[in-house]
Amino acid sequence: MSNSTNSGTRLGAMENAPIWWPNFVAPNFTESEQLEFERYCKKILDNVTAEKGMTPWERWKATTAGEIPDRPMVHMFIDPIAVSRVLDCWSYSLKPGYDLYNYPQLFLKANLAWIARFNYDLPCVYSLWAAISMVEWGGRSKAKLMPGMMPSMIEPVVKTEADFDRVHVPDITRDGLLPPSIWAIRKQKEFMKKYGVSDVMPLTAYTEFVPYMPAVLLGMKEGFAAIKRKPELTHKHAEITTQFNIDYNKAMREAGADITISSGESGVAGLEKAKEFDKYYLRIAEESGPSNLFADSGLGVSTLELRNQTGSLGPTGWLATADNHPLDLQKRLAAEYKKIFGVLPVNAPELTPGHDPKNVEEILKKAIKTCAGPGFFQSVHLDYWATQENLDTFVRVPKEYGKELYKELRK
Amino acid sequence: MSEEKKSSEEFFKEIAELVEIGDTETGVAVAKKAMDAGVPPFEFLVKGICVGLATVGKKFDAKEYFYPDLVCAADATMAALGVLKPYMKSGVGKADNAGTFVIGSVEGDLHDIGKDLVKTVLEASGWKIIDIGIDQPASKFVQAAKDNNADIVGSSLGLGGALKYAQQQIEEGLKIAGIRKNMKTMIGGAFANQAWADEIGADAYGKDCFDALKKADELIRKLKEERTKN
Repeated sequence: MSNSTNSGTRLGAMENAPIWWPNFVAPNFTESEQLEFERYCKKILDNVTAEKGMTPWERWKATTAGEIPDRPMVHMFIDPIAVSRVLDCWSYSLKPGYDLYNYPQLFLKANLAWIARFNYDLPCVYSLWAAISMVEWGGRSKAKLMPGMMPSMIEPVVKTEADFDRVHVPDITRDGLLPPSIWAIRKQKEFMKKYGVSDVMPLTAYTEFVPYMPAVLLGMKEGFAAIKRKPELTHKHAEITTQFNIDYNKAMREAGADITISSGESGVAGLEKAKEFDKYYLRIAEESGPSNLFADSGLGVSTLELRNQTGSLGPTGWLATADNHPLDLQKRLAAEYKKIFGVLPVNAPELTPGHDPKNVEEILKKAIKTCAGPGFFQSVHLDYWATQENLDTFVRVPKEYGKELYKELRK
Repeated sequence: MSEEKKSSEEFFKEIAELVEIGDTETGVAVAKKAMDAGVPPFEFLVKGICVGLATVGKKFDAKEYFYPDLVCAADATMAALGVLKPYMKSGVGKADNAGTFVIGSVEGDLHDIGKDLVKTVLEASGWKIIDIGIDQPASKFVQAAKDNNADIVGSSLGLGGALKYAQQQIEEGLKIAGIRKNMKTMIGGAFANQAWADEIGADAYGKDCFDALKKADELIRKLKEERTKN
């Protein structure tokens, strides 16, 4: 691993930087790797065929059209660290923070292997770059790559107001971890196309970015304080981060993502601030194309209502946790505004060791029963330590219980 | 023209309000004036700063306050405590019920916001804090606990990923060092929860800085009872 010290220039410094840093070189695949990708894709196709129902694409189209599909659609968020476990075979021998960043082909392999193993509808390519490192913005930023984490910020991009003049909106084709992130989407789509998977399954991609999420450029403490003490600075911040968000969504789509998912934690500072900053979300919604969802674990109920009213959730809909958002409210909003809504009924820790799959099953059944109908789909933001048994349950319940329930609804 | 002399009660009320709204600059100025005016620092802390913090906690629980309010209140508190410290004979707080609390973020976790919020609230409430910082391996927690005869070791897990078991390593490390029985442990952070505390054998989980204070106070009472019995 190399250490980058070009702080103060276009790219911030990255401690324990990947071997290819700072200029990403797309890796070539060996013959055996190509065979492996082919095998995963064939397994994904076999899984879809074996279910003898709608294809995931058909489910997506039915759900977004406000129709009742054959069962609830299933989506998963899996960050680069969590997805690595499918390669590690739960032996903890991989150091995903190093290995996947040094060898991004492993990230690609893990993504395909995960879809094949867990057999769900909407695969999601998470970004390799992290909203908690941000060296791509230059300035005096410094981040660190660690064995078991996505890279994290050591020094923020913006320390003083004057620093804003040195900040640039990153070049997605060039800067830091952005090129390998887009490369992974492009390559995954290529393999899905080559083996016919993209005919039956859409590809989603996620950008972990929020217009005014304070940690992004200012650092966590200063950022939170600025929301209260220096709102003008936070707006300045939001202007440029919104632009990046739009650029990145476009880049993901150009690389082959059929659906983009933007992070949208607009509730972290309460409803009044959500109102004040809603215009940025509206811009992202308007400029990111028709199939952009907002994923939001920080939204409160009132914020969700607000964003439905202003239209800043976009034309497609949202994903949100169940604990902050009563299920019946989400269902009502979805019906009222004719949007799709992904519910995350299981909190990530509830899928980890020590949590009984039977309990997971009960939670899911309750969520499906409450939300069943037009627009609903099921998602989860995975914890690295999720067990296979709990993940299998997560996918099985909508396929069995959900299918039975939807059969009745379709009558 | 000289400012009219304020009573101690007026200073308490003023600093409580300043902590509540997170006004660091004015808070420091008021703390200085109060100390110059001979206000007892311990009373200023308990009847002023702590009252303000308690209001912040209530408003946070009631969803009237959010993270920006917490951060600003913590900032104002720390700054005011900085003014008070030289005026206090020993430590900052209530010596009769204070304990020693080792705090840090686990290895691989570079977040300090949650840890610092807990530190601020505990320190303002009379705890002696040994802050070992962020990104600290289990061995550092163990060593700090040994070196300082810690009553409680608290670890923060602000990031997910593969880091989670770092908190379990701290538990194991304290056992191996032979000091676990005579102390308590707490965990916190966005990726910790009660189930995880139960699983690894931590004595308490603090869901936020105010809950952490409540749990720490409960644990120290329990620990003192246990020590008396033994």
